[in-house]
Amino acid sequence: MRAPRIFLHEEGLFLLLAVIIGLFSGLAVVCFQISIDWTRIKLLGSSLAPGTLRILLVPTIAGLGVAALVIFVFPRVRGSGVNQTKAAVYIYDGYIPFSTVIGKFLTCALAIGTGQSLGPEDPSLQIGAGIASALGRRLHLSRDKVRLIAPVGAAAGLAAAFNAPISAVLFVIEEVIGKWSSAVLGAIVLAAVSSVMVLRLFLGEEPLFSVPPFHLVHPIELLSYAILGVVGGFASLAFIKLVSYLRLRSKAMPKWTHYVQPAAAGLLIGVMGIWLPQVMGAGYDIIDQALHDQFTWKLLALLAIFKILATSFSFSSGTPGGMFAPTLFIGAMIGGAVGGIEHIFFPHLGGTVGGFALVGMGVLFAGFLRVPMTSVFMVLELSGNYSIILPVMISNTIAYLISLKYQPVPLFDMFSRQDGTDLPSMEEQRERTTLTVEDAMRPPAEIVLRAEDTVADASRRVTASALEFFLVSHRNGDWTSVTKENLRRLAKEGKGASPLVRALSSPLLPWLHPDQPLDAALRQIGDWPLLPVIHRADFNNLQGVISLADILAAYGAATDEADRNKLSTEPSAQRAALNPE
Amino acid sequence: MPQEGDRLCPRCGQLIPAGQTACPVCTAPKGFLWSLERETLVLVSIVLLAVFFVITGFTTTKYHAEQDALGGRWYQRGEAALKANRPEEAVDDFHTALVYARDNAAYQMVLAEALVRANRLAEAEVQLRTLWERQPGSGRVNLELARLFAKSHNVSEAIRYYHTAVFGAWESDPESHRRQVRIELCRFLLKENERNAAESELIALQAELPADADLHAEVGNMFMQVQDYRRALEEFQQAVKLNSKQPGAWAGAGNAAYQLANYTQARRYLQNAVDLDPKNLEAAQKLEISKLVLELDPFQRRLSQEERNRRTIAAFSQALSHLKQCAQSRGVNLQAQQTTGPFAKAYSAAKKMQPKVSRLNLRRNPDLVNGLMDLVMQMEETAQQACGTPPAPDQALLMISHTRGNTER
Repeated sequence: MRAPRIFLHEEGLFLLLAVIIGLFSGLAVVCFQISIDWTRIKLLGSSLAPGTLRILLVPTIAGLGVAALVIFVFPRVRGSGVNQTKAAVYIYDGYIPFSTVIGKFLTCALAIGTGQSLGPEDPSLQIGAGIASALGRRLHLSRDKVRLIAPVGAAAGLAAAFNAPISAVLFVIEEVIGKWSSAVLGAIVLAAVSSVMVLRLFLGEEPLFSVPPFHLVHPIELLSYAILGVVGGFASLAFIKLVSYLRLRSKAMPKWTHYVQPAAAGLLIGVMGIWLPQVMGAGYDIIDQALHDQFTWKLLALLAIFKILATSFSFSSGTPGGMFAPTLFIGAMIGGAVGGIEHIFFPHLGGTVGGFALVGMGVLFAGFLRVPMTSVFMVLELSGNYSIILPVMISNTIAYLISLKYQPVPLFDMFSRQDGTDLPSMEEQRERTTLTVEDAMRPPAEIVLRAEDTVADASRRVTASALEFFLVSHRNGDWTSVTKENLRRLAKEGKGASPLVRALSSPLLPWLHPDQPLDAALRQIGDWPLLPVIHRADFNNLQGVISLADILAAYGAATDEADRNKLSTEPSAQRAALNPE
Repeated sequence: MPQEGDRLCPRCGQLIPAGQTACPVCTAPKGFLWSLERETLVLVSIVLLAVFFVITGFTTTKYHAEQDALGGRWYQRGEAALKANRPEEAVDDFHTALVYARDNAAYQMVLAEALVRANRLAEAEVQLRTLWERQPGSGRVNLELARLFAKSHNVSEAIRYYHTAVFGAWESDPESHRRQVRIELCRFLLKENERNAAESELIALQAELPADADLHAEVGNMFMQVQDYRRALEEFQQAVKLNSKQPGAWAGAGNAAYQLANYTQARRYLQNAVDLDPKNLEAAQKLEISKLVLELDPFQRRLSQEERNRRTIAAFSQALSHLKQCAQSRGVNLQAQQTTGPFAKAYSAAKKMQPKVSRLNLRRNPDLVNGLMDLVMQMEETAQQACGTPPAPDQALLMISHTRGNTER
């Protein structure tokens, strides 16, 4: 076999590949969005309110087609695409078959274009990841790089779908990778920028929504945004509970029903669409209208409720499609409704309903998808208005905390557990308390010797102690150690009058600080029976001591507590799903 | 169709048939691409990218053309609905048009107009403010915002946006648009009874009016409303100079001259107005009064002493007769000794003066004309207050008295 001639270094190739992936993903997303639009126009018509027969038949028949494609041709295209991408990264070494890209493209275009209440963003994310995976494998990248390349494609796909590169990069870091890794950050940014550039080249510079001007009229208005945070938090909670419950139920239904579930969801959405055609499809144009104060608060509230129902039906039926657009839709409607009510009771405050709708989008993003950082930056990026930061931060934080309190397991993690996989939960990683040296250290030992002490003095001080090992503090902040046995030996050698600093030849002890992670202590302790834990600004100030037994005891206690928490927070339905027998 | 015992390949997701251990897709022989070197594959990727670019380019061109066509179709439907006075339907159509051409400023503009027509003012305001944010100097956007605030009687905001519209950018014929906006602003100010502001705007407008008889006449009418009769007369004179067959302009000029107490001019202009439009009763009435003023006024220049005296005596007789008729119609007996009030006061003064009213006395004492005409004014005003608008000759006498009063002041 001929050895390959490598001219392109793997690191350089990785960055070049990021740009190529970004361009491919951008083109794929452009075609994907056009396909969705064409499907809608050809099958549902160009009107915003199609005729009754059409509105009932088209989603139903298309649902049958989608089910057939998913079951017979593309079995891996179910779901939104976020978890599938995570699974590719953490389980399948970055492997996403290219057939998944084609399947996702076709089934989502058909489903979303015919009115299923789902969005194109998460599928775009998976399409991008699939393209990246295919290219990475074809270019013989190492296993590590292939694993890293899928998130790069995911960011590119999402950035193009949102026309918002910052939010896409943040989302992938917050939800897929879980950490700011320098190895992949540059590639992700390059890919996201390339894909957005392509999208803007073909579909125009306009942002996803045309956002009306926003001004915070009075600081007291922040109270209304806090209320929006509370309403949005509980709405997110209701949405999560409903989606997860229906998804679990529909999965448990007899197998033959899986052939008709998307059609049934389509029919139900069609029935809703007779009265509220706004709930059908991704609903960007409706969000735009809500941002421009084109609906009454009652209609906005009604749309939010029915969109929650419609999206829950669509998603739990196994129809491929994303949750981002419905989340933004519901958020905008809830925000608009709260803004409308505020106008009735406090007309003098004068904030625009559009502003509330905009903040509402971020609120649901924070509460439902549980990506607080992305939610804030997404609203900023969509609005291009920095003055919205305060309301967004207040509302999003409240919604996120409410959702976190009453639904400890985030949505995507719950889905992965329902599917029988245990993908790493980025939120749990973020929330997990890191054990530090402080958690394991003991108070300083009763006797600390000084390097200036003579051997005789030191021997006298330690005679009564039951301990064998003693720390020795040096003026320059160094620490060494001495045992009782050593002191006895030195005395016998006639070095009783010598100071310890001269008499001892023991190596310097590694030291620790109280705030360092406990892992650091584990790595440093080696064979030492005890290590000093010292103050960061005063190296002679001994804060405590730590031994291997202390470290293991701290880890043991933390594991027991985590197990107790897991048992108390994991719903019984999920445990049943994980352990069917 | 999947059979019992089939399972999914954990690597590629394809079905592994029951009884087989390996995935048929994953274990299939690798194709030609796998044998190529990395550099070659990068080049192949770039070529593929270029092909994909071209395909996407063609697709998007077709897509945009289709979107534009759909947007245009819904826009036309909206226009038709608006013309048929179905603004709600037009709003829906324009919304749909904007789905296909979201940033089309023309569609957004007509949507805002339709919303205003449908009386959905709050929605219209948001729509317009968004447009304004993007084009703060647009004359049309500012004009629509001004109209919106004018409709809700927010005078200060309306004036602000009207002014920005006047000085804003217009795509075509900016001069004409600016003029029209200023005229609309003047109309609005007059409607809101903001006369001083309206007069300032009219003066500014007067300076930039083109040679258009209708425009001059319209501006003249607005000057009449702010009671600037001199400028109104100038505008009407300009209008009739440009188009002498415009009865409205002649009537306006006559009316302005009448208000300025220039009855000679008023008679001429009003005569032309009545000749061109005999149905204009107001002009006819003012013409009659103007003629009477010119016939009855003893203070006119170039009158002989004899004629002045004759007119004074005639005015006195006319006023006294009117006073008596009025008193009779109101049931007041002027002959009764105990009668008091304005009637009695005027009548008693007239009775006292009556012996002196003769040509001889007036010839001897020309200043008596003033005293008699003061009394005429007193009698006419008393009668007018009690009996309302007097007959034409008495109106003429009142006009003469007022003009004299104004001149003396």
